[in-house]
Amino acid sequence: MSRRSLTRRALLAALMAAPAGHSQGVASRGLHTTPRSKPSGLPFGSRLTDISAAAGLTKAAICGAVDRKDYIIEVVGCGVAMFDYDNDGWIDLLVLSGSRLDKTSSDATNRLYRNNRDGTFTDVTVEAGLVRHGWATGVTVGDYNNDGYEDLFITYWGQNVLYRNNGNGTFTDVTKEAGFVRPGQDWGSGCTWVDYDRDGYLDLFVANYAVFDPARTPKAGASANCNWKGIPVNCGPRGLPTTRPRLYHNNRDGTFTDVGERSGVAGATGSYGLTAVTADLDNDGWPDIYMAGDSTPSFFFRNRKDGTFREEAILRGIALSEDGKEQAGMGVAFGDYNLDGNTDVLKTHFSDDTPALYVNDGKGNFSEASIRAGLGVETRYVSWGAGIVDLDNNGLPDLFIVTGSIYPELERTLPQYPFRTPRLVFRNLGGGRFEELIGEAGTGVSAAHSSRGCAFGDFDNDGDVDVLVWNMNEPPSLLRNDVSSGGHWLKVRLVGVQTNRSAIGSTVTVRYGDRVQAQEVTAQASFLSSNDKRLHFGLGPSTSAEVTVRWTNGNTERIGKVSVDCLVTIREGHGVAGTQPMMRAKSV
Amino acid sequence: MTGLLFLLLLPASTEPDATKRLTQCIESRDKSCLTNALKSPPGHGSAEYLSAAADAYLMLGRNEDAMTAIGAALKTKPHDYDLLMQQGRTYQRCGEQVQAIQSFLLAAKAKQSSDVFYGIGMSFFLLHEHERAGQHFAHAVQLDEKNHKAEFMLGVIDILKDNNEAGAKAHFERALAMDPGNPHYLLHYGILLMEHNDREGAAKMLEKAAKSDPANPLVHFNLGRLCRQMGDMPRARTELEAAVRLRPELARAHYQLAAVYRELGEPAKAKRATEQFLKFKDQDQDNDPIGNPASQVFKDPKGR
Repeated sequence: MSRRSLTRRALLAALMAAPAGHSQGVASRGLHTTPRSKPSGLPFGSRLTDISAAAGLTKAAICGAVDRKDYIIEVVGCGVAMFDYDNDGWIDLLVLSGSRLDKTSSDATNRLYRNNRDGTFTDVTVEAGLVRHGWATGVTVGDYNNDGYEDLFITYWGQNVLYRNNGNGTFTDVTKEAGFVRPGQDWGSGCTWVDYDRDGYLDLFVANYAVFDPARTPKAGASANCNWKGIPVNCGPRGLPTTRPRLYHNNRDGTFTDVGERSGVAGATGSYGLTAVTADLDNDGWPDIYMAGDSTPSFFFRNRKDGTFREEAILRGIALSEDGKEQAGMGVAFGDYNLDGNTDVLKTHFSDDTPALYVNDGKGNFSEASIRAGLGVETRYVSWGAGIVDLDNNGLPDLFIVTGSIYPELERTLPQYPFRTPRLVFRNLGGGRFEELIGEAGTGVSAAHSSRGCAFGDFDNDGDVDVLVWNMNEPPSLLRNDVSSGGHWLKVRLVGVQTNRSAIGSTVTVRYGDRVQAQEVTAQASFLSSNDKRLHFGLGPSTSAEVTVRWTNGNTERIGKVSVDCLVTIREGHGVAGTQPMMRAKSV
Repeated sequence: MTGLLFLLLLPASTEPDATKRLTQCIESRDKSCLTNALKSPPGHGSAEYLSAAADAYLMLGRNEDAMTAIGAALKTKPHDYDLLMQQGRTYQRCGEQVQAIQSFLLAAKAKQSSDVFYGIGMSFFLLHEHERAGQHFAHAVQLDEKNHKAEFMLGVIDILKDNNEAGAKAHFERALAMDPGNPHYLLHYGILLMEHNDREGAAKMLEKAAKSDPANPLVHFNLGRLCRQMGDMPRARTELEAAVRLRPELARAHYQLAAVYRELGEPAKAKRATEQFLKFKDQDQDNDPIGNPASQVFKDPKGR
């Protein structure tokens, strides 16, 4: 029996049987793949190779049991971050970890890896003060106290944690002092720093996945929400109690105040929230927030410029599938794939569904373009972390997605549903079309893992975009990108002065040749992860680029022409503060 | 006992006239006509009248009364094939599939017909017993190769059981060869082709369905979906507007329409369509007509 036949049977049988139209614990539309077009035959000038072992990333990230998952807490997994914690100009790595319900993983902890500037990393978790056992989920990176060092907020099932970067290679857990202590079993998930009131200090949005209590959660197979393809599996998220997202205002003194109710954010209920990303999606100069909803509508909190938000996702066409159905929204990527200067959105989903690619009209209204863009050719895998990134520096942002099943027990009965699955690359052909590459993007793409979060950044400073990937109960993958296209590139680093120091929420628009591309500085994206804040623009054959910055406070700064093939640092109000060729790492 | 009470409650009128009036109302599908006709039944209900009354009650959604009426009819003619078949269909419509199968089996004792096996197949289908449903539909086709309803359902079973697209197409085409203008078959075949990305084939089927049944909102909805997929926004708009005009509570159509309005640069209309979607989304449970062909079949109590 083919995979598709089983899908069809399960979907339709369930459609008829389930009382509320819910066929399983996770939303999936049972889509058939669209036929593949004739291959373009164009060479792809990027190869991704997993160098994690050689780089010293050998410790597994733990999340639940290996061979079977009794509870959903064991399957959602974690994010990662690529950020420069010690301001040495080299990207360091943070890999979150969960735990095991039988407590057999006493050494499971989040891990911080310092970049040795030679393609290898040193585990500095202990020295940095980041050892912590528990079920970590998501991370957002941002300088909340504007001291010039990136701080960390990490969500957990249970107590979330705020780490203040001390600027000397160590962090201090300031959760209690900052006012983030909370009782209960809320499962924190997406989180993003966002200066929603444009006062120059980063506030914090926190999504919650569910209220999870193993003692009250049914066992596999107990109801329609605990079955998939007729096989008993862990229950949820449908059936689990939902809880509200939170918004915390930065009091500028190291403490935060919960303004969820006052801002209207907490009024948006009924969603299993996952990745949260902030950007000015409607180009009105104020940062908005988008949150992926798993098997429920996703939320678009539109900033009303008065300290409040209005949830407008359905109205703006970015909550549901193009046919109005709920999807298993997990990962989110922002980027300008069609080069019109507006931020588009990519959201990842379950198998038997496509990722959703939403085109922004510039006013924050979205149209789904997934099928016409060519994404319908791939529905086999559960998709998680994602990025709209120019992998081959040809000036056209590509799509990169990591995948992995959530039911390891399934492959014993249904081998066509493996737990570990490959990564996906959709190369941008221009004209709004993509082509899926299977073997052409390198062994790091075709290798099968059960991945979740991934972050994009240039760890070896060689002028391209590398990828750090979280793998379930395995060490992470560090995918080194080797670009052979000869395309030019530009990296832009923003330093806020009036606005928040990390420049989170600011937009950089680059004109090169006859193209224009916008990118936003984000604090969380992909799946519960945080990307390198140096924005990377592939320029193709263009040898010049013009840069404009719209800072988080709405002010626009025209920088003009800048050098290419280098990192340009722009200080708010002062233009280019430095132009540096990248300090390439010695080869691994 | 219930049947007897039913008869006692019937006020007197002339038997042939009452039956004729009811039959006319059923043919015209006029609900007020049906309601009025049922207010003046004959003093002694014949099997013919009770049979017509059962159909009338079904059309009015009064399922209990329908079952009582057909039960009373069978008291006068307990082995009547037509009445037993009608009883089977009535039970089916009322969700009582086990009783429906019993009635069909009793009918089979009177006459081994293709329709009997089709009826049993439909009940198994509604019990999600697709394997057994398929066996009975196949037997129905064996007994009468012109039974296009059974042929059509064999196509549905091919999708549900094995996702056998080629098999389903063959069955749908045979059913359509026998009943070329059947909008129900055309709609489902069109949806099947659309799901398998044969947009041109889907367009042909859905266009025919629209000609055959221009008042069917699902036909216009699916044509609108298809036009949108094919990038023909003005036509998508026309079809989707027709769908919501015909069935204002069709939330899916409002959602699609909102997206089409956005693509056409009409945000105010998109907003109104979204509001309609939100208003009706919890009422729109008719997820997938392929998965629920019974929702169409049972619009006609005779299963026509």
